[in-house]
Amino acid sequence: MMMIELPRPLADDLVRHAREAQPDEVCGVLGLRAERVVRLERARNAAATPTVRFTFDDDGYRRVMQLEREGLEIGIYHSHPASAPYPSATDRAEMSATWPDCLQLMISLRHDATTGPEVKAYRIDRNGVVSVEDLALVDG
Amino acid sequence: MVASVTVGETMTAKVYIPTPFRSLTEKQARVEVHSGTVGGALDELAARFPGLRERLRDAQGALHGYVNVYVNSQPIDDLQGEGTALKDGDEVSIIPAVAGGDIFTEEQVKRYSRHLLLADVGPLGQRKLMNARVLLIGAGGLGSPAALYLAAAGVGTLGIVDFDVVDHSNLQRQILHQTDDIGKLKVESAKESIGAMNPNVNVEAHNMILDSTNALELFKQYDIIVNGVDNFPARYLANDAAVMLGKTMVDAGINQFEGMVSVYQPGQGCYRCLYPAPPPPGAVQSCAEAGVLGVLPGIVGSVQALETIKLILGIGEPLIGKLLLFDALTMEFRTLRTRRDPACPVCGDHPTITALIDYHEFCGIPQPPELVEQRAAEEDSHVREAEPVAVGAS
Ligand SMILES: [Zn+2]
Ligand SMILES: [Zn+2]
Repeated sequence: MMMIELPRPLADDLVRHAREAQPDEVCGVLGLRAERVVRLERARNAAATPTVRFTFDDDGYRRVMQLEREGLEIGIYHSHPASAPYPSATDRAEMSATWPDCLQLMISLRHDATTGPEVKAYRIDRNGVVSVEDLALVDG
Repeated sequence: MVASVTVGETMTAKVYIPTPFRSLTEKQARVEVHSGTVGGALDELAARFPGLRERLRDAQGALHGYVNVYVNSQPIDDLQGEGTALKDGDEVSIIPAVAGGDIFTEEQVKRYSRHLLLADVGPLGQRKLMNARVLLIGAGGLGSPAALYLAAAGVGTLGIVDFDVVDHSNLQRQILHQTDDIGKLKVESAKESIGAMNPNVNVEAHNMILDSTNALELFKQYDIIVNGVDNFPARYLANDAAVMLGKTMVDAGINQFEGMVSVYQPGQGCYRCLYPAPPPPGAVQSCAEAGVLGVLPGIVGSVQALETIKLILGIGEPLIGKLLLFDALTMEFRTLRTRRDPACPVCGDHPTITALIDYHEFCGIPQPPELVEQRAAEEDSHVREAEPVAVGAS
């Protein structure tokens, strides 16, 4: 299995975004090149119930198009303000139908006050089967 | 379906294919189309690449709700939908929705929306409620409002223990049961009412008399015990069993126009710390003997539900080390401080009662006839060391 590299400045952006929006879930798009996250763009969470659902707004989709146009592989991130950094049944149902096999970065803030945020990487296939990707924080 | 308009070979638009669809387009990220409308362009693609149609449209031919289409970065919903005309050089982008969310179903999000809005509950708290297991002792006057409010709040599992059947005289206050339920087992009637109120709740019906032989086994399976018994032997039994297992108990009692509620948490006192011995037999009349104002258990049982929810969520100050007294006639609530008694025979520093005892003998009360029956039925299966205790409904 390949190791996904996440540069620290982007990881910091991710944590900042998740914390700022608490208790809402946040979401955004990632651009990857050769298994390394090179871009992280916030999307507005347009869900009617953002504490328990997330969905991109049109600007978010435009960012997806933009990163694709730049030749980057698309990844998606979202936060779990209170639960484990693991795809929920809802996440699996949605992603298996829409973005199967796409890299999913998930940040959980469930223990943020004590042990800090947790970030994990997954892919969800068309059958909703989740596989864990190794994730490494790298400098710059 | 939108008819395509042919504008000749000069018209060439590009369709951007998202990553998840590229396995169907021979890995191409951009495909040229010549149809004059968005709908036509999508059909042109579907005709060329097998399998793509199902990814774009449902069985009725409508675009899937999770497929977003843009023309030059404008969502087609803001244009003319699939009828949007394409000009030479336009770029059509197909982007599957990016969405997900919590374990809550849409139904649960709506049902619990007022909880989800509260900072002290929110999704985390709601999940705690949904994961909680609460045992209600008695499906009567106190158990009824407690069960209904706990169910409405979304407590995941409610155990209910009662041996009684619904009687006409229960209906004046036991709001779990309806007139049609007369003669039904209370636990069955309770299960139906709770199911109608909130089908998300898992109800575990225990149609039995709580006694010294089964109390520990039953209590073990739950996080919090809500006590709605109406007699002293059962009250002492429930107290002792909860202390021995280290379970928190939300206790209550009612009498005519007065009620009391307290929360006994392990290490912070118990019912015996306040009342080491039962009153002499006959000194305190039961509801059946003395009567009770019907709405009184409604208020007191609702306070029990509230305290239980606070304990599950870990918010506020539950009535731990406190005794709430309610006088329905003067409409006064008073709170007294209570203390753990280091000499308490069950929760004190040197407990003398370390196993469940004979609670009828302890209270000087003869066994009700139902117990004799249950005992006879159980006699064959095992030998008991202690007498059973009736759990009736207040
Ligand atoms: Zn999620
Ligand atoms: Zn005690």
